[in-house]
Amino acid sequence: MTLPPPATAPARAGARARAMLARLAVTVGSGTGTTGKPLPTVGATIGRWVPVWVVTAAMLVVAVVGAAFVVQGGIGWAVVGGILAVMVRFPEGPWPGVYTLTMGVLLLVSGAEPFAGRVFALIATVHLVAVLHSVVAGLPWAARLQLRALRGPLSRFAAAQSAAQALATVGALVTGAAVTLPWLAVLAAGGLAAVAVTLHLHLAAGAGPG
Amino acid sequence: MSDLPRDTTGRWLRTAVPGSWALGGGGLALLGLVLGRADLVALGAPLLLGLALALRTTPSGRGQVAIEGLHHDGDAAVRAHLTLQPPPGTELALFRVSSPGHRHVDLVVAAAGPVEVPLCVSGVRTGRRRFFQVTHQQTSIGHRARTSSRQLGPAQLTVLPRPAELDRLPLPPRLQGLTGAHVSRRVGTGGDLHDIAPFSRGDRLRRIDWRATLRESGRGREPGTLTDLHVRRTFATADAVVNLVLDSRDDVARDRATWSGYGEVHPDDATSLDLAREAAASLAKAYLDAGDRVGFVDLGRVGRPIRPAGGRRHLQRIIHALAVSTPSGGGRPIVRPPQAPSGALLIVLSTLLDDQAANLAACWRRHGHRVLAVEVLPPLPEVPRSAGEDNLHRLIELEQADRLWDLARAGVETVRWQVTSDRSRSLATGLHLLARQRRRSA
Repeated sequence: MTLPPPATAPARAGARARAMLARLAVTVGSGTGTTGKPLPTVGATIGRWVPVWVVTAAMLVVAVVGAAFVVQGGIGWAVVGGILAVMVRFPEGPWPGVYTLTMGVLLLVSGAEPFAGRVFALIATVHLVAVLHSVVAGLPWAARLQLRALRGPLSRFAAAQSAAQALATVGALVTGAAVTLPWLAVLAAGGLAAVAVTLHLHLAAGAGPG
Repeated sequence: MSDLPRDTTGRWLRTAVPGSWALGGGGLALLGLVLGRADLVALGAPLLLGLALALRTTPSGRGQVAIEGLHHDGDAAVRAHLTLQPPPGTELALFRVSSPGHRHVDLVVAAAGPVEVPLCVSGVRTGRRRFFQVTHQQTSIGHRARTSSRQLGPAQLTVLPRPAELDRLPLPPRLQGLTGAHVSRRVGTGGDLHDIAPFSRGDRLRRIDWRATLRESGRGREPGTLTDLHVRRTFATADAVVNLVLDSRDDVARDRATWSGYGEVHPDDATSLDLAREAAASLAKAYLDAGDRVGFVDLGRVGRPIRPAGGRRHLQRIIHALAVSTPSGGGRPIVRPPQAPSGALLIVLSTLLDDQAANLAACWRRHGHRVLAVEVLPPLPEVPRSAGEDNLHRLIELEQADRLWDLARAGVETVRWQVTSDRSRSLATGLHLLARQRRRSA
């Protein structure tokens, strides 16, 4: 058998140069993939879940519904919209508290009767906004929130709401019975003092996180 | 096979939630007191009550996060479990799980007790690979505190190539040894008839062919006279020596845009090195199952060849060597071809993107070996391309065609490793043809 002659040095160099050119062209070529297939997502099984953006949207809906009880006019809506936008954009700030305060001020401004029916609804919506915000604050919008993870915050919400609604009902009954306001102030001050003592005990006992 | 990462949870840090709730609830309560509006106090009361409930439990200590049970399930998927032993006072855990070639996923799970999240990524890639990098953070009950985020992993796993079933394979021109699965051209102990010859020293008595002996004795003599005994001689069996030569200098995917190393290769796209590993493992298994001896040379690490041997453990050795082979850059040219056993069949697995592997194959062929070049460059994706990309692909294809033509002229047989849905038929067509050629020529 006749063996083919080995490639000459210039031929080898030419082939190598062509290969290098080809690789260089690929290197500087388009950065997008040519297969057109999107990369798959890492698979994870956490049971039933909802996207965080759904909970965030639910929080905004609840906040708007709550505001609808007390807001009158465009300025009020502009203020509420601004607070909600800041609450979503900067989730780490004190914005739920600001929203709650704003709702209180708007309640005052609205001139509604104390303990009217919408006040009970407002108590629930304001609290729910704060709870949902605490859950989704700082989370990526596309994150998968396990439904079971909502059980703890919602159970505390239910507990606090039942107490608060009972308190409001008592307040409504009391004010309906024409009890003088100083008595209410004493009751409220007692409640506040109890909360303050609880806070103080936890912090004084080194209960701070870390 | 795997090195599983483990980590502790981060340090607890205060969040703005208690302050925010205290501001809202306390502010409204004070406002109500000042203005004498009990409804304002009631409006702020839930936040204060919720705060009090949250403050009953104090987060403390550190938990454990780990990736456990990392394994390849043999069905193009890698699975693991992400586990968390949360510290006391934890309510939620946030995990961001990423893996090369995949988009990350963010998970928020309840973490009041131990957490176990099954993870899974798909992929046909083999070799030493990294999976599941996890960024984790925990939140306390009532969100009064949150741990600093920490990173875990990635975990490393060596994914072994899966051999496909091959049946008929080409053989070297000269078989070796005194026994084996193949019929050699020598006379010896075997099954196939070679000829009938007069009895000579060393022949076994049981090989005497009495019918042939009687037929030969009856010619020109008295009937019933036995003169010379005749024996049936058979072809001896022998085994083949096959040397697999892996060109691990390139690891390129179908997507030419990823050749620069900047793009992510789709996990369902096997790269050239994955195909080469699969092809080499399949060939090694097929030859070793047939009782042949198989050696292995990695052109990226020519200093550590595996000598030809047989057996199941040798197959494991070769498969592991294939799995740990990685692209070595290819900057250093191989001046002298690695030594090949005499009479061996050399199978070169390469992308043939440059001349080096082709030159080695041609050199071995000139030395008298039978050389088979298996091209493992993944096929181009069937998507529309720009004119520039089209020209580029055409240039690459032309260069490869030139190289294959040169190899054919040098006497090197070439075949392309075909990936089909039916793994048992991979490469089958080309190898069957080559096996048939060998038989005809023999």
